[in-house]
This record gives sequence, C-alpha cells and structure tokens, in this order.
Amino acid sequence: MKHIKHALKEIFDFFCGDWRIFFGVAVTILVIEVIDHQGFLAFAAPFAGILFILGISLSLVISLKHEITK
Amino acid sequence: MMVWSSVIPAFLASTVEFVEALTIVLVVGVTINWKSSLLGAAIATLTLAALVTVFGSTFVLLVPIEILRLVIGIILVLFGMQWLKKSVLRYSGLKALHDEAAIFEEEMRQIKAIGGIDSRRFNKFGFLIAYKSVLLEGLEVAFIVVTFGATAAIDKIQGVISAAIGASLALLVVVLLGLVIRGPLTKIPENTLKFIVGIMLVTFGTFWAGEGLGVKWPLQDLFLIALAAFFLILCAAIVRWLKPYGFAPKTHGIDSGVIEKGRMEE
Repeated sequence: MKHIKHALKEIFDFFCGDWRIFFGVAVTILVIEVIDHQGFLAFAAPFAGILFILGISLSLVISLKHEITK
Repeated sequence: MMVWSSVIPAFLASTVEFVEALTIVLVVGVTINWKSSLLGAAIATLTLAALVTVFGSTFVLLVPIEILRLVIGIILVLFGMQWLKKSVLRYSGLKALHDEAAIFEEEMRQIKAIGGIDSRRFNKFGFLIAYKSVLLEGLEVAFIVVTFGATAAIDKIQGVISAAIGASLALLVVVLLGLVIRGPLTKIPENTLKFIVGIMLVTFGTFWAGEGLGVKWPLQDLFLIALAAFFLILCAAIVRWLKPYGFAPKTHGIDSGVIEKGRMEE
C-alpha cells in the first residue's frame, strides 16, 4: 500500500505537483462540461472559451498566492 | 513534411532538460571517469528512445485524435503550469534562479566527498548517477515529444517524428556545445527557455482541451497566438504582483539532488 501511494504521488508530482492547480483545472473542466450538456445553461455556451481560460488562469493565480502566504 | 508545432516545443524543452543532464554527466566524467559517465548517459538515451517509441506508437495507433486532444490537452495544461509557476516564482524572486555553474560545483563537491574512487575502472556509482540524471531529465522530454507529436497534427506519425527530430536536434546541439566548452552550459538562458516552454505547453494544452470540451475558438488555429499573448501578459502581471514578496538568493545550485539520491541507494 505504501509503495502504491508513493508511486501515485510520484506520478502526480510528475504531471502536476500542485493540488490547487489540479482542483482548479478540474472544477473548470466540470463547469464547461455542465454548460455544454445542460440545456438551461445554454446561454453561457458562447462564453465557455472565456470561462475556460479564466478558470485556468485563476488556478495559477491561486497557487501562486499560496506561495506568498506560506 | 515537418510539423513545426511539434518541433519547436520539443526542441526548446529538450534543450533545457539536456543542459541540466549534461551538467551531471560532465561532473561524473570529470570526477569519476568518462567511461562510466558516457555509458550511463548513452543507456539512458536508449531507454528514453524506447519509451517514446512504445508510448508514441500506442497513441498513434490506438487513440483517436479527438480523444487525444482532450486528454493530452488537460495533461499539458497541468504539466505546463508546473513550468510556468516555477518560472514566475524565479522571475519574481520567490525561488532562486537555476545556475548550472553552481550545480556543477556542488555536485562535484558531493562526489569528491565520497572519496576512494578508482578513476581508471568502470564505476557503478558514476554510471548510475549519469543514467538517472539523463533519464529523469529526459522523461519530461519524452512526454513532450509523445504528447505534442501525437496531437499537433492530423498525421500523428509525422507529428511524433517531427517532435523526435526537435528533441534529437536539441541533444545534438547540447552535446556539441558540451564538447566545445567542456564545462556546464551557463550561457544558455535556461530560465527564459523554461518560461517560453511553460507558455507553449499551457497555450497548446488550453487550446486542445478546450476543443475537446466543445469550445469553439475564434480564428481557429490563429487563436493560439492570442492565447500565448494572454498567458504572457498574465504572467508579466503576476510577476509584478509577486516581486515585492521576492527574497530568494540570486542563484541556486541543487534542484535535482541526483547525486545525494544515488549515494543513498548505492
């Protein structure tokens, strides 16, 4: 179990290494998916691109903000 | 036909990683012996080539381009953010700048501290250090070659070949410079290259992941330029915001700790 945990952490660190960025990007993707698939949010579809870019940018900003408060 | 959107990121990222690997290979060559150092580097390069071939061909043969763009786009965003975050922290003074000369000196000091090395015979420790450093630095190169190569063009095989050419070219340039200079490549602007690669990874990742999620980008592929410009401006603004908090020393040596790790496992 310890080895599996260690291996998963290594993989996570290689591909991302920051939980704030990971969750930020994940939430952004979720929002875009919801906009794309839920009819009542269709009005937001033209802004999906902007929301996607904003979500990614915010993830970076939040992660860096954490660095200065550490 | 060359796929430039594969060649350029692969070339730049590989240059950065190979410069870092070269420093360790040089340290091992100078302090232990060239036989162990070069053999370790050569076998690591073969390992990386095998990884690119296996994963590259799997992506090319088995995964449709639409799925590839979504999955790889997301991974590239996450992966690129690491590069971008480190670069922004370095430019704002919150993280020390990468300095190959300092790393060279520090790694050399660590190897000399071990002592008892017969420089005429093949040395397993030296071989492992060179192998590990080239493999670890090269893994990121292999990842970029496979992802950019398989995703950048509709002809995925051509894409992977183009990315591999970019990486090989970087290897050739770094090796030739290493042979001429016979020391760490301190003149290569590593920090700037890392920043450029970070921007490229996040830009392409955002574009492909967005496409995969059903986002209709205006201007099609030309929108990549607008995205790159946006991330560039964003990073410049973040650096301005973070600069007052910067306190790190101007340069810094060890990031990888390859030798320390090698010693522990020896």
